[in-house]
Amino acid sequence: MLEFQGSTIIFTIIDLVVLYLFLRKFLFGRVNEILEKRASLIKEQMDSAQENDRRAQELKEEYEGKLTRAHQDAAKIVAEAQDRGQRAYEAKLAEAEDDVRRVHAEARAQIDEERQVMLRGAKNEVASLALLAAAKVAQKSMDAADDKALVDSFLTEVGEGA
Amino acid sequence: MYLDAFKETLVGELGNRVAFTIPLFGGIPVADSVVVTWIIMAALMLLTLFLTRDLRVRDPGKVQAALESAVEFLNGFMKDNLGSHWKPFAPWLGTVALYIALSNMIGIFGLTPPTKDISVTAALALMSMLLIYGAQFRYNGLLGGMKRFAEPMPLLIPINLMEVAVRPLALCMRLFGNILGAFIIMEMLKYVAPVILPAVFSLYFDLFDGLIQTTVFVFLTTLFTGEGIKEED
Repeated sequence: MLEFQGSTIIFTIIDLVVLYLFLRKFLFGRVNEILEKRASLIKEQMDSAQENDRRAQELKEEYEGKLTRAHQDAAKIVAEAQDRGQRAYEAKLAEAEDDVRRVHAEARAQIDEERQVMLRGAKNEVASLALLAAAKVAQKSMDAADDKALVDSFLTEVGEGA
Repeated sequence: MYLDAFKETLVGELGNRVAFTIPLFGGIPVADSVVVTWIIMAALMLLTLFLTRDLRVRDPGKVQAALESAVEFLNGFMKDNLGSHWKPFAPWLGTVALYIALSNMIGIFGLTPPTKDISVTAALALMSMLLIYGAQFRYNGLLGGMKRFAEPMPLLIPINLMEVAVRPLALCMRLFGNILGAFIIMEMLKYVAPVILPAVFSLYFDLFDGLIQTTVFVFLTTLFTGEGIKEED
């Protein structure tokens, strides 16, 4: 029972090597391949999840930036509109004031002129009346031009005196 | 009278019968253990092909999950004991473990365990020796492999050199002795009480002791291999 048998040793070694080659290929090889594939699959999925997360974060930041800019733009547009409205209002107001002043000035000028005309008319009337009275007094008809100059100077003197 | 007959059968059982002889080179004897080894191999191969026929990366079935955790356990064990060069060793040691376990337990099916034949355990131990010292020189180079014999201190060189022979001898004898002892006890039990009792003891001697001896053999081989190649850190 304690004898080594060469043929059994050699057979066993050959059997073990054959079994090893078989199991390495079909048992350990296959199972390890699946394990590695699964590990790489999980790694891949985690990588892509992280990548997606990062992209989502980027998009979020981008949209937030856009939103902020949009808010700023809106505020700017409103401010500009208000500004423009204010300026238009002021311009219109100024124009209206100008118009009022101009109309006022024109009216005043017209009134002045009319008064001047009236005054001149009145002066002429008074001068004629004075001439008439003087002629009546002098009983003498005077030469129109000479007399008129005379009356004018008289009236001027009176006016200065008055 | 009875005792003499018992002795005779026992001695007859203890010998390694030759199943048949190949009529080549003046006749090559093929022992029973070799034939049983072939049966074990055939069973293992068929089982492997059956279990690995439909492996899936996603959504593995229960069988596949069990298979995967077994292989992962083996890989983890090798990683722990062999360091970074564990990969090429796992399939060999896994094969040896499966073979020894099945050999030790095949007594349940009424076949003689091949590991009861000292020539089989000698072959296993020889391969372990080749693995241990082959790895030591393969991963450290010729000089580095030599230096490993001077570890942990040069004083131990004679002992380390002796171990080259002692380790495989111990592996061989331990496995053989345990299985043979269990076999003798089982035979005696079967002779004394042919029913029920052998079944109970078979649980211990064939299953439990068989698995323990498998673990011891593979664990020691791994440990010795790791000693030769593990990087000091």
